[in-house]
Amino acid sequence: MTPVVVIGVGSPFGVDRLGWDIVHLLEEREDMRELINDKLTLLTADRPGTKLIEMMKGAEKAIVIDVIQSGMEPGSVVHLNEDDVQNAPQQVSVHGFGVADVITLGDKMGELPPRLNIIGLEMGQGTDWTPSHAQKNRLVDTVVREIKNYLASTRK
Amino acid sequence: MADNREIHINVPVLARVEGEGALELKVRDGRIDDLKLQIFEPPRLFEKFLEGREYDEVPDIVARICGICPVAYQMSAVHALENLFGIDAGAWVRDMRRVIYCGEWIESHALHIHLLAAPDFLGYPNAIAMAGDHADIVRRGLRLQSLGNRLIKLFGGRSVHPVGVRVGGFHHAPSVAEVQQVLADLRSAVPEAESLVRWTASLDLPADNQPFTSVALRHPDEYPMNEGRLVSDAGLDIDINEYETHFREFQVPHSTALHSLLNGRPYLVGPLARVNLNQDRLPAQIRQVSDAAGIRFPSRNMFHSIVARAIEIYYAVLEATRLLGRYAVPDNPSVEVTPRAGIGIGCTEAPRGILWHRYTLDGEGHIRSARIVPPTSQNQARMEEDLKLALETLGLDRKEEELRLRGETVIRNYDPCISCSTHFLRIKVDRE
Repeated sequence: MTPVVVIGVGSPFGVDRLGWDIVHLLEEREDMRELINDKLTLLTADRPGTKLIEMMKGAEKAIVIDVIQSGMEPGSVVHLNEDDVQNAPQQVSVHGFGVADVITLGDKMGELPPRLNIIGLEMGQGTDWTPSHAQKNRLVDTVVREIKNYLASTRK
Repeated sequence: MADNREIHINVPVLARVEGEGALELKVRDGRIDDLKLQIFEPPRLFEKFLEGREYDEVPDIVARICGICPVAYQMSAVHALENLFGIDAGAWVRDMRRVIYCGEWIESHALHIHLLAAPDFLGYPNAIAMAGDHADIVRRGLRLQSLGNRLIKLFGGRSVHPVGVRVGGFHHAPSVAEVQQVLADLRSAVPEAESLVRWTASLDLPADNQPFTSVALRHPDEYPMNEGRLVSDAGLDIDINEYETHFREFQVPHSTALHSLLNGRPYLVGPLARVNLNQDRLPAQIRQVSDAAGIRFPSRNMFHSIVARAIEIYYAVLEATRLLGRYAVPDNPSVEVTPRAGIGIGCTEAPRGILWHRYTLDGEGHIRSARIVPPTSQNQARMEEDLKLALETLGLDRKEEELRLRGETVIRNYDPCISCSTHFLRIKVDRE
């Protein structure tokens, strides 16, 4: 496993595709492609359930990208860590284990990477919000910054 | 007096499930007046998506039907199409299809045993709560699930919605070195798989013997996965092509998933049905462990399903070890395919039971129509029947919380895709 893994979580349906779309946008960037194989792994997952733990295994830093409902303005870039996720209310999810459940379970098992970020766009409380290109690009920039900052910190 | 009370248990949303469902229960005068397992998941329409597609697109499309058992959908599809085309994919493909199916059985059953069912029998609301006291159990589940996923990835390219399966074989054969790595992990998992059978048999499982009909594939020589006749313990013994003359699917008002009956009666498919009908096809070492653990098959106790799943994990670990132990890279991992017009039928044993596919093709290999009968819909009528019997056996004068918990446990026991959850019933009780 590379030091950094980015996992776009989602499904084919509507705004839930966000995690996949962001990973595909990352794949298109030259500066990210240069890191793949040695430093960076980019993955997409269709409602992975507990497989998410396995997908992060061995990484020093994992970044999980998903749509987030946290009460902020729709389109805002939201950063969460595992503590934020574990304190979130139980959500309707697929196969009984949504991202929050799996991260909580992984933490109890001591199976999470040393560093874990959950980054996404706030979708608000409605169901009709869709992210704009500008909002997606802002999220991509945020993820790229996280990756580069971490890799720079490990070079010291 | 308890017998005179009327209880309406309305569970409006079965949350945290694959799909959407609800449970409605009405008790009057100490008897269940009405019980409906409602499924209102929107129709998936995959059969219509397939129409007009090329035959070689089918394995990748049907893999998307289920995130837990994509291999099953691929296996039933490729066997249906190869049956139509008159193809024998050869011994190597046949063996490796069993291996990838072993991977799916291991990962699916390990998930259910450890993370979905075990909390019910150990007294926890869910796996996360259970993990605090029983981290070792959850770790074992994750370990076995990971092993299963690696087997799927070995031949499927990836464990989620694998893409390695094609009509005629596989797109790619893994190297001997890749196989050896997984084989080493399989061998080291054998003791754990064996002890899993004993552990599940030691759980405090409710004693609830019920009359029901088991249905599964049966093969002359081996524990069934991809081939065999459709048999039951009520005398059914038919070719898979005769399925539609004995089994009837129909719509009920309270469910978007079709119900299915065998000769007018509910029936059971899945691990318990398979073990009930095929225990003599299990290796002697598995039967010895099972017998020593004190669970006798065939069993009428639906709660022995968790033991049956453990037995099948043990079997799948041994079977994959056996088949990969003689692995060699073939000259070609697939055979040539020439499509032809007609109807192709396939039926394989998904983790949750028989998965029957029928495709009608034109002469150019385009799908004209498709019919897919998944195991969860086949078990729906049996689940409603089981819920009624189980709750009456428990005692309808029990507290609503107890009735709810037993209802949840009964539903989860089937590992239906609609209830892959450990804590999914929200309950609203109206007393009159």
